[in-house]
Amino acid sequence: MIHSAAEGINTVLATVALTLGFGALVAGSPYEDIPEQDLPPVVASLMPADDARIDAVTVARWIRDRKPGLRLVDLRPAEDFEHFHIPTASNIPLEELGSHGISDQGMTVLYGADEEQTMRGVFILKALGAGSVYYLGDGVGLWLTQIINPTLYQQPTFEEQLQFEVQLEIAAYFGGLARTNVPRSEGYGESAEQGLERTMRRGCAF
Amino acid sequence: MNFTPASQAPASPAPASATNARNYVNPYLAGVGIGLMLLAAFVLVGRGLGASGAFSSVVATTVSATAPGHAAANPAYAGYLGDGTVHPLRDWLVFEIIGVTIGGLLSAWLAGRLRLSIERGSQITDRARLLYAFGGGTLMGIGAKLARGCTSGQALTGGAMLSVGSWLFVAAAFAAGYAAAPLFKRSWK
Amino acid sequence: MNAPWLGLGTLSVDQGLTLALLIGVGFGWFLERGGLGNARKLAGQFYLTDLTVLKVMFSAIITAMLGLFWLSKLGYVDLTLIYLPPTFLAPQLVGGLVFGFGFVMGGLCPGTSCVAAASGRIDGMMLLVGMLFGVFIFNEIYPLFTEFYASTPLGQVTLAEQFDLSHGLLVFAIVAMGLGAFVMAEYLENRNRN
Repeated sequence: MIHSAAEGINTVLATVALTLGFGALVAGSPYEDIPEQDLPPVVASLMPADDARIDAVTVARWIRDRKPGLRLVDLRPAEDFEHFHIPTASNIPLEELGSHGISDQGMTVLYGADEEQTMRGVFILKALGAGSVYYLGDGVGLWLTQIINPTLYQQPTFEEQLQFEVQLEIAAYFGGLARTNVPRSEGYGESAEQGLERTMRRGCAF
Repeated sequence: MNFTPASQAPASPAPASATNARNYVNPYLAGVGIGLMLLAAFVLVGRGLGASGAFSSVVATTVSATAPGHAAANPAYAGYLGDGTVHPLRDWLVFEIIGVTIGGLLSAWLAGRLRLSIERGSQITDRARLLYAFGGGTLMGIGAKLARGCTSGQALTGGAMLSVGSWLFVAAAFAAGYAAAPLFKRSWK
Repeated sequence: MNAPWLGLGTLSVDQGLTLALLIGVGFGWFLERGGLGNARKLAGQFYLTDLTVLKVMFSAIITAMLGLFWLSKLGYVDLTLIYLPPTFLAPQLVGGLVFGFGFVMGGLCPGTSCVAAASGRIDGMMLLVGMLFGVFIFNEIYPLFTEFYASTPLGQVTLAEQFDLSHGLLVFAIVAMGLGAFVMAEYLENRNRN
């Protein structure tokens, strides 16, 4: 059998690919092993502990780092969930939460449409005796304002600047789009819906 | 849309044997080269290659320039136009695709493949080939927008990242390609 | 973790754009060298007479995938900072089907049409115009099917996560699949050309 030069190169390439591929099989996951953190225990009353209320940046980091045992639950109605939800979240509408229950393994992060719906969900889970329950204080809106559209107002304080940079880092991972130099009078300025549309840029950027 | 009639086409397809063009390189080596470019993009800027996104930026910029109100009202444009602080063409993919064009031009020129011509089979007219090219391009524009990427952004980039949707896109695109292939056989024979 | 450079602040935006241009030049160069600026060569993929598309694409995917895996495993790249295209099942399935139909009809894809056009292929230029038109059409009718566009989202999920497989196993499986496909491609080309 005659081997041409091209065939020789191809054999080398194939061997390298196979070796590296087989190595990958042995090596397993390229994501760094994330050490299990000591989770702050939520006090066993119906009132959640102060530190159970977390911000969107924390949740975003947990998702990004693929935190073991993390379960993200969206309490809003199915149609809202389908329109938009935080990546990796599953949908258990508030009405079904009581009957659905939730595993006491791992940790649960709840969020609803607003603070009220979110808090109702937290109380239901606490009453059911769930262990580690965290919640996004202001509901899904917090995700949109912190991760999808981090906003820096005009003449920001040092505090705001710092917070903005933290958000920016994680927002990039979730395809968020930052806005800077926003007039303070404008407030957040746009609805969650509008903010969502803006993320299309990253969503279909390729 | 103005099509160039066959009679006025600047050039007709030249058989490969009539040129002194160099042969194409080993496709596996070309693939490794593209893979290394993609890897460089991942490592240096944290995102992959793409093509259709650049077209989106161009279309959004054009529409916005001709009908600003219309573009601003449509979220499909607004996303690409941003908040006005950065020019929409000041974008990673737009620069990358300009580079692709330059790279393609350089390579074709150095290999003696630079010539005005129409790539087609012998059983189809220039006019029909160009119509099919336009139609195919239109469908691909729509499909790539719907799928949030094309063969570069989804198949290459998402493929290497092992994204679920990207592999689904590749499977669907090739399935449709093979299914529709008999319809266009004459374009290439 | 030293990379990605841009995400970790090693590069400015302007430097990023310059790199985009340079990386693009390399991308275009290799596409043309591999023959992917030629619509007839690309179309051959769908008639199993010329499987250059499969060979170039799959070896590019394997190269980048292996490189990324090992750079990340060795602690050089933070994989979590690299943009993973999000999955939306239904729109990506339908988009893929429409795209594939257009692919065999036009014979080039968006990236390769730029190369074809740059090397003087009028069909490539025509396809570019068509693509801009297609994007325009999509954008104009987008408000009618916003819901479908955002339907069936799975988030930014990899095959490994979705099917609960080891990342390494999947990488190996794709390499093996690719090499198998290459052997098959050589066989088919030999058979269908002669």
